[in-house]
Amino acid sequence: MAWKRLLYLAQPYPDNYTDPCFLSQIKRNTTVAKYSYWHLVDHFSLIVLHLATVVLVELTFLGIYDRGWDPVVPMVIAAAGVVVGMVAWDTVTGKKTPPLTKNSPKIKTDKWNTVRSVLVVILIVLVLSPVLKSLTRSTSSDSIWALSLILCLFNMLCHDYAMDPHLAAYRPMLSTNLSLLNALVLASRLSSSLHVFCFVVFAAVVNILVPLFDVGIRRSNPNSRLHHIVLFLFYLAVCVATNNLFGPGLVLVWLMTMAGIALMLPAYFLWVQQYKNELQGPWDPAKPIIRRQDS
Amino acid sequence: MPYNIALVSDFFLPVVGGVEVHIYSLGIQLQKLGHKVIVITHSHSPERVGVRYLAPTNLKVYHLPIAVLTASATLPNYLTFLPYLRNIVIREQIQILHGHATLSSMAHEAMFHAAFFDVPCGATENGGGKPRRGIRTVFTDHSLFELDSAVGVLTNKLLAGALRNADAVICVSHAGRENTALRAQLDPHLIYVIPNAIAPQKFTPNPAVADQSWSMWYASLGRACADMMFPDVRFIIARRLHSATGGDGPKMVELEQMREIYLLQDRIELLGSIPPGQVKDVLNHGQIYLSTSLTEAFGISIIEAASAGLFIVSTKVGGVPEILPQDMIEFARPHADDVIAALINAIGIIRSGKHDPITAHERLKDMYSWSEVTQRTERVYDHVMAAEDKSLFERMARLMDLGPFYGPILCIITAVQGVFLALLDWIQPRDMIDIVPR
Repeated sequence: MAWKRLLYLAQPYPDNYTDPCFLSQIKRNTTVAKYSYWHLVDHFSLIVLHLATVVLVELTFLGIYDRGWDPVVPMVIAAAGVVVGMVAWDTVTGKKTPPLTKNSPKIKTDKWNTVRSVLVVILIVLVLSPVLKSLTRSTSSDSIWALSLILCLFNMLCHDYAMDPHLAAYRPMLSTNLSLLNALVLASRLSSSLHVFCFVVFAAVVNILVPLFDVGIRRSNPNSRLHHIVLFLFYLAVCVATNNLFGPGLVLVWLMTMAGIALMLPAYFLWVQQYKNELQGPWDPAKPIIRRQDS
Repeated sequence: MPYNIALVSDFFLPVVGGVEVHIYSLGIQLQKLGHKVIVITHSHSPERVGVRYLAPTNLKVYHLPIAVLTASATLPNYLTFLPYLRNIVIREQIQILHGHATLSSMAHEAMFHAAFFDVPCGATENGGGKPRRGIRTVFTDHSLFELDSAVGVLTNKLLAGALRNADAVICVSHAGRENTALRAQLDPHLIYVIPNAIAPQKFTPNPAVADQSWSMWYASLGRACADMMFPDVRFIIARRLHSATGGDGPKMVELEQMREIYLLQDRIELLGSIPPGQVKDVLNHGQIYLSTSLTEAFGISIIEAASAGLFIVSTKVGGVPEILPQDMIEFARPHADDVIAALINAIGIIRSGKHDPITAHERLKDMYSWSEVTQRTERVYDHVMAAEDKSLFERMARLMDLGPFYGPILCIITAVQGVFLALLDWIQPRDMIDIVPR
């Protein structure tokens, strides 16, 4: 009499009998996704973009604070970028823009409303600039640099890179706050209210609007070249700023690091996939399929 | 040959549950076979402290003052149990330590501490120079765990350490056996499958009180999927079904809300947790038992319902496919539509009169009984008593195989336990401990 995988039968086999069918229901790596290298490069390049925006703000601060850059120039470039970006946004996304975050209210696409809220924000920053300037006067600069570094590191760790903005809601809350905080503590070291104002506006555009813009265009049109153009522009901007501040040596370091992140890390990721050993069997909790009732 | 057996678990009466009742029933039955059985568990102050004797066979229970972490489980710490266990093992001349339940740290600790004790073996009337041999360890695993969840990774690591030197492991189903073999990295030949059992006389059918409006009974245990419990509200409405759910759990609120939304208060009864004594009466009102668990090592509630004459509709998960013959159970995939299809089939079987509650009960009586479970467990005891002693060095060497970090950590823990035990032996030498007369 053949052994059966049943408990209610009294079978003429010992209780520790191991049938050849032992573990035959086991499945290996059924939930493991197959990745293609270039798809991964696309995902990892999002880290490059975010790093570039964070580093660009730091470099701009260094230029204004230490090298006597005119703070108006970065702000004007940023403002021009916003205008170009708004035009590009409309052409790429069209009129039916899905809400970016899960809970964001329906934004009216009325141009006048947009301009008005932009003006309000700019005015608030303008009014607060003198306050910001004296915000950390009693703190030593070294503490500020350390704080800025910590904020940037946390920012990179906590940022929602939104690999697939279609599948999951975009939650930039923490990283946005961290980058704004970083901009404010840095701005408090600058010498005049104009400097503070220009720098905060620039940082807000680069650290807050650019990620939103990028996720928006990737969501509305995943194959859009615009994302790659934005990525390339920021990559280049960091190169130019680094070259201006430190010379070509550090530019090379930047180029190599980013190439490493965008090209080497995906390869490493693919390589470690071979060690994946997920076992599934009858003991796993079943995944229920529920048809939601439409009342 | 009768043995001195200690059943060790965090989970024991007065808390009522599958593991608790299993230990109690096993202890009683082992006593009936002539073994000396004690139970070691933590205290439930103020009522259950110290030593208690349970009816009907004066099952001796040691309630140890060990702090409870959560859900009746104690904190895993590898040391605090040792002074108590040393005393009890010597007093009671324990030969077999039988731990129960994966999440019971007392059971895990007992597996480790067993390395340090030996008891006289063979005929005890021989007098001086008696041969002594180590304590044997058996562990019963009652549940299934994932291999890749955070909880699974942690508990599986602890389990692998505890069972590394166990002499035998008992699982309640073949699915559980495979699961435990993987989780604890064990040789499958060490693992025995002995199903759970019920007391059939406590779950008898009573067709007279069955509600003829096709009432159903749903299990509402912690792991059940609430969304599938009322398979489709429209289905209940259309078929004029009545249903009741028993048990309490985190999903209770969801169920209440669902019932309210569809105004089904008159059709669906939510009974809440039911005292063990009344389960049979509630079950007897039903004709179909629907279990929508997403994981189940054995499914004792299904067996109870089947014994009470209900036809079973269940999701095909864990060990459930092994427990009942095809004509007493209707399986569904964990899919809402599939559950409804299975229910329709089940209703058809009930209406055509193919399912007779009395016959079902008679058949089930022969399938699962405590006396058979106990005999099979006794055979496991015979096996482990015949096995060779493991020296402390051998045990540590085996622990080292568990990995470059975990292995040495466990060896250090074992060494600290040894030092602690030497200290205890110095404070209160072993020969000063009185031995309980048989």
